Parts: sequence; C-alpha cells; structure tokens
Amino acid sequence: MPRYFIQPKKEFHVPVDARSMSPDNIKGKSIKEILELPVWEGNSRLRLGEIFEVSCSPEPEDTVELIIDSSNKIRYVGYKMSEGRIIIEGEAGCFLGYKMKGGMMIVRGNADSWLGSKMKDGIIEVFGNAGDHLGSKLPGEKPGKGMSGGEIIVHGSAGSYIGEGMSGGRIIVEGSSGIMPGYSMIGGSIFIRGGCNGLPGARMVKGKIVIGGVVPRILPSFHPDSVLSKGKVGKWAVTGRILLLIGDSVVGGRGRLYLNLDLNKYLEELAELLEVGGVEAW
Amino acid sequence: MKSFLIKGGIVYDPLNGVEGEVIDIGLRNGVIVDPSSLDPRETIVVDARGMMVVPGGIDVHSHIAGPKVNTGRVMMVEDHYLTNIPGKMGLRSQTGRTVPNVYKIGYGYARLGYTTVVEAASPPLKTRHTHEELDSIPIIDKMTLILMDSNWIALDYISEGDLKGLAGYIAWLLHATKGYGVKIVDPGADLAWLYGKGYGIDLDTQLPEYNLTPREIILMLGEASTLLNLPHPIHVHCNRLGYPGNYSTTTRTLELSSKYSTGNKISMHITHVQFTGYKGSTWATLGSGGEEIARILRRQRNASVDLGQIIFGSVTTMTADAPFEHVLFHISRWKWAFADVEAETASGIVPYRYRRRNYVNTVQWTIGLEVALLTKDPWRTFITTDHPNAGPFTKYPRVIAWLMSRRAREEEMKKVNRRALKKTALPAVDEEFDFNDIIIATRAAPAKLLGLEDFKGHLGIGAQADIAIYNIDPGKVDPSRDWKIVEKALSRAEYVFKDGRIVVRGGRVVEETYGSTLYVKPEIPEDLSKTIVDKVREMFPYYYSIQYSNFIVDLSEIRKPREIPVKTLL
Ligand SMILES: [Zn+2]
Repeated sequence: MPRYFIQPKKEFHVPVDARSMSPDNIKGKSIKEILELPVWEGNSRLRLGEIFEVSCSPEPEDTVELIIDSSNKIRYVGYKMSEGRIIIEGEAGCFLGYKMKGGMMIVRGNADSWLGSKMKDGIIEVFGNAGDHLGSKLPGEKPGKGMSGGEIIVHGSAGSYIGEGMSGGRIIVEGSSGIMPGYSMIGGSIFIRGGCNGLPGARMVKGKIVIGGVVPRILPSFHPDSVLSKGKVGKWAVTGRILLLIGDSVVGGRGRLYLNLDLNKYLEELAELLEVGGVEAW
Repeated sequence: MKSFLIKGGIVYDPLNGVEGEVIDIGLRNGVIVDPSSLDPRETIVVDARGMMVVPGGIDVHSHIAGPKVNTGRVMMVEDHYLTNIPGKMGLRSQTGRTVPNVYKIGYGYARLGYTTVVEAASPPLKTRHTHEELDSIPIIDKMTLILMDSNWIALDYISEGDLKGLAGYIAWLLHATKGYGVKIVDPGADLAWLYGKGYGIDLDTQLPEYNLTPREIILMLGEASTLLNLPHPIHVHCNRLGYPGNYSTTTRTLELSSKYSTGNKISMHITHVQFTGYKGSTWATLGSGGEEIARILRRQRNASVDLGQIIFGSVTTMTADAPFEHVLFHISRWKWAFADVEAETASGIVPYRYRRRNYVNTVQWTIGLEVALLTKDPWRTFITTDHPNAGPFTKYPRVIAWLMSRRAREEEMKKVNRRALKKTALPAVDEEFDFNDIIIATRAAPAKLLGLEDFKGHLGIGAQADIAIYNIDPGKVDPSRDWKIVEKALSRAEYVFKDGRIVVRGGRVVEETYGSTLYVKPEIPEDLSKTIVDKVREMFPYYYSIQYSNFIVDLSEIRKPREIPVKTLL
C-alpha cells in the first residue's frame, strides 16, 4: 500500500473542511482522483487539488498512510476513518479524528479542540498539547454521546472538558488539564498524570478518572470511599496515597475519582475517616 | 404592480360556497378582482388546469416568535448541527429542526401554502421581543395573542368583579402590546406557581393571594372580551393539561362557553385539545377522552377547538404553563429552561420525544384525530400540531392525510402500541374528511374564528390575494386510497401568491416578501380609558421593574403594522 504526502499550496486564513482526507476515502484511488475530492475553504467548495499538493511514494507500507503538513486551519481530517494511518507533521486543526472508527492517528505537534470527538475506536497519539473537549460529545447532546471506544494519548497537556459525555474508551494525558474533565461521562476512563484545574467528574454517572497532580477544588457531591496506594488506567499509574471518591451524587452517579492525597492536603479531612487500604478493591 | 390571471383551476372557496368548480381568478394590486377587469397587456396568465386553487392557509395556534421560542433555539443546540441550509438566490439561510429559525418558519409555512399564522402566547412585558421576531419572519402575515390569566392587574379587576374595568384594561393591554387577542394558559396556575403551587389546578381550586378560582377567571375574561367585541374570542389552554383524567376539566370548560356567548358567535376557543383529553387516573391506565370531548363539543355550538395533533418524533415543548413543564422535566430528565415574567406569567421549555411504541404517546396520538373525526364539524375543529409542542407545523399534510384517509391511519396504527389502541375509539372510526372539509378547517373557519373573513380565507372579489395552488386534481385523486399523493401535493404548493406576488413556485420559495402584523384597536369611551390609564400608572411601580412609558410598544417598532379597528359594546 502506498504512502501519500499532502501539503497545502498556501497559508490558510479561514478554516478548511477536509473531511474527505481519510484513508478510507483515498484507498485505491489514483492521484488524479484524489485531487478531485471535495474540500471547503471557508464558504467555497473546491477540489482538493486546488489548495493541496498530493504526492505518492512507491515505498510499500503495511497500510494506507497519509502524511499531512502542519496547519491548524485544516479541520475534520480522518473523519469517520476506519483503517490506515494519518501522520500530521506539526499542528492539527479542530475535529481531528471526529467519529473515527479505527486506524491510527499521530500528531507531532499540538492538536486543537474537539480532538477525537465521538470516536468509536482506533488510536490517536499527540506529542504536543491538545485543546478543549478532547474525546467529547457536541454541546446539547445527551450524556454518553461522546467518545465510546478507542484510545487517545496526549503527551503534553489538554484543555477543559476532556471526555465530556464519554461512554467508553480511554483518554491519557501525560501533562495537566483544564477544568471539569469527565463532565457528564457515563463510562470509560480518563488518566491525567499532572494536575487539573478543578471540578473533575461533574455529573458523572459511571467511569473512572485518575488525577496524579494538584486539584484545587472538588465538588461537594463526591463521597470518600477508601485510601489506596495506587490509581491506574491500563499500564498508566500513579502511586502514593490515593483517595478514591464516588460520585457525582447530584445525578445518582457511581463514578470513581482517584485523587492524590499527598499533593492535595485539603482532602485529608475526608480521608481521616477512612483506613489505609491496599491496591484498588474494585 | 403586475396583475395575474389564474386560469382553469379547480377552486375551493367554502366562505363563498364554491366547492370544486373551475373558476378563473384575477389579482391586481394585492387584492382579488373581477377577471374581466384585467388589462390583458399587463396580465400574466397562470395555467392552473388540473390543479386545486384555494385561499392561503391560516394557522390559529403556533409558537413562532417570542422569548420562549428563542430560548428553545438556544437550548436545542444539537438541532443545528446537520440542518443548515445556506441562503441562496436572495433568500436567507435556514437552520433548526424542532425550533426552526425565523426564515425557516416563514419559508416553511409558505411552501405549505400557509400565509397567516397566529403566535399563540406572548407575555405582555416581552411582547416587544415577540414583535421583533415576528418582524423577521418572511412572507406570512402574523399576529400575537397576549397572556392575561395570571396578570396581577387583570386579577385585581377580576377579584373586584369590575367587568367594565377589566374590559378597559384588556383594551389598554392589547393597545400597549399591539396584540390581537386574549390568551388564557392553565388559568391561575402561574399565579399559584409563584407560591410553589400550581400543579394540577382544577376549575374550582382556590388560588392563593386572590380569592378566585380558574372558573371565575375564564368567565370574566370571556365576558370582557365579548363586551369588547374582540374579533378573536378567548383562546383557552385548559387547566390540568397533561394530567391523566383531565378530559373532564376540558368538557366542563367547554360548557362555560355558552354562559356568556351572544348569538351563534364562537365565544371560546380551546387549544391543543389533545393535551387535555386524557381519561384514566394514572399514566398506566391512561385512556382517550376524545369521544366525550367530541360529544360535548357537538352540543356546545359557541366553542371551537384545535387539535394539537401528536407527530411521532422529537419535539421541544414550550408553554406558559410553567408548573406542567416542571412535571414534564422530571419525566424526561434531560433539559429544562424556566422563566418568571414579573407579575404577569411564567413559562417552561423541555425537549421531549414521542415514541410509537410508547403506551402514553400512542393514546395521545389518537385523541386529536378522534376529536376531529367524531365531531365532524370542520368549522369548529382546526388542524394544528401546537408547533413545536406536539410536532412541527411542516407535518400538517400528514395530519390532513390521516383525517382524509382511513387507510393512512391504519398504516400508522400498525406501528404504534397495541395495548394503547385497545383503549381508544380510533380503530373503529370510519369517518373521512373530503377536500372541502380540509379547506374549511385550514382556511375558511380559521378566518372566521379570527374575525378576518372580510379579507382573508376566501377568494371573493376584494379579498387579500393570498392564494395557494396545489398540483393535485381533486376530481381524479381519491384521497382515501391515494393519501400519499395528497400528502405530497400539500407539502409543496405549486404556486403561492402573497399579496398578489408569486412567492412559491414548484415547491420552492422564489421571492422573499414580508407580511403585515395585525393588531386590534378596541375603541373605548374616553372617561373609562382615563380611569384605566390612571390605575395602571398607579400600580405600575408596584408590579413592574420598568417604567410605564417603556412598556408600550410603539407602531414605529413594527415592520408593517395593520390595524383591525373594533367597535366595542361598552
Ligand atoms: Zn400552544
């Protein structure tokens, strides 16, 4: 299978809707056909070839691979993709991997908001930072309409509302995050190695949030359950004195929130009531 | 302005006794004229052979503008992701699904062949907003009803038993807001709601603060609007809406209509009767009260109803019946918006989904159709979906198909909840409406109910040139069998004329015009007017957070105002 290189012909000043740029769409097409695919620049519908240059390397690969140049104006890349690989050599725009169903996506720089929103399966790896609403649902939709499967790994930090309304899958953030991670989530897990700006797990019904760093504020609707020595999502783990809280009782939720007691002294008074436990019992 | 000759169409014009005759119609300067008076050199001939030519449709109850409609749009963000239609060829862009934007409302009604729509509920204080939005709705003529049942100044007059004062106050309020009529929503409930009550208030429940019952409120407002000789009678949304067993409240309210009526004029309009037609004592034992309501309605000649027919699918319910929306929020458990409008009224908004397999929703679906089919009086039963509460207005052709064809109903009945159907009369109903009945229920009767039969709802000489032409030959199509053809033809009018201009052609909007906003101006005696203004000015600082002078909507704030003068009996 070939490898395609896609480069913008100019610097974009308005958003470019490139939802046709997915391995599923490009597989088996000649360069000429690829250049005919529709894209939108602002409000005008163009052919892909009008604003992008596409070349193809003969090098055989195990799967279709798209290598796209850095531009944070290009949106919806990898829309509904189910196979193959997309590598973005730098910055990526909004809605990357929106409704993704499989395959792999690698971003070498930073990704904008709504990365992996509503994704069902596949892997997204970002080496820089990610924006808000990582793996989330769209505003107004019911809880559970967000990411439902797959994995998003961010080696930098992420913005606010990550995993909003998610129902499955995994979000890993190696850095820190903004406010309200896991807002109204009903399943899946979120791991944040660094801190979070506050209010994790608001309106969560089910699922798991592990935060390794400082959390300045938690909601009063979470109740302490036990103190553990470890909190983990898959192979990612934080160790130390970890407080497990259950909530959000505002919606009658049974979600699990793991917070670091050593870094968040104000949680001690909740923890005082509980004995020190072993590794998580659930 | 150009003149048109509509040639060879099959005309239905119930107000002039025309039923399916081939008649030529001439239009000039926005009114209907004698075809022989047209100058052939500047007349465009529209070939309507084999097509049905009818007056423009009139919707007596729809929620198209005002603060709650706009809040509904804001709340339903997810409606806007996949519904955007870019503006092209001089038209504006359209968006929204359960609560469309203003342009989609205007174009949507025009495509259906509707040219006049009544916004059914506007809080007096926020009617300035309602007018701003009505001004932005293209093509159709519009008017707005004003909420009065929980208005404290009105209640002051009612509790004092001062009928003349109340009539004067209604006249002042309609003048101040440029409204068209009196709307009563779950009378007294929003007053009780301020005290944390208001759930399931019945006709004879004592209201807090005022020594009053909803029955007295309805009777006094009914009498006062009869005294004022308003063109549209009181428009009542009954008590206990949405509660099992509420059909008896509706029938008792219907019986009030004869208490103050004069002659054979309709003195009370009961709206979205489907929502207030439930039998049974709990949701689990819910049944249809459609038969009983139809029986009482046949007897009460001074009352009319509109259906509020359920369309299965997603909707956004919005009503000034705030306590009920709070109940519905706890049933649907998703989103809820709520507002109190000072000392006037309140409102609530909750999205909801009607499901075919749902027992309660199926019972709801049958009630509207039962009332229409069993009453069999299209002059007093109007087709509405209480847009956007029971379904979008764009589904009117579907409701018409159900009314015209037993087969269409049977097709739907195959898909709905069986257990619920057994509790209703609909499966045994054979009645079918014909084309003339439909044109009465959507054109002639609404024009009469709104007191606009002089220039709307018919095709006689001098009438406003609002005409819909549908590509269907009533002589050749059997609606009972070919209901799908009827539904399709009525969904996209072949031609629509608004004020003598072609606005729709082949189901597409071709020109954007703006219709007028109708309002009433009741003439009341000078001295009464003075006492009312003095009293309102005196009470204003106690009841309102704004100045008296800021309350009054000026005519300059309305795009195309059209006054309907009213000679009162005061
Ligand atoms: Zn309504």
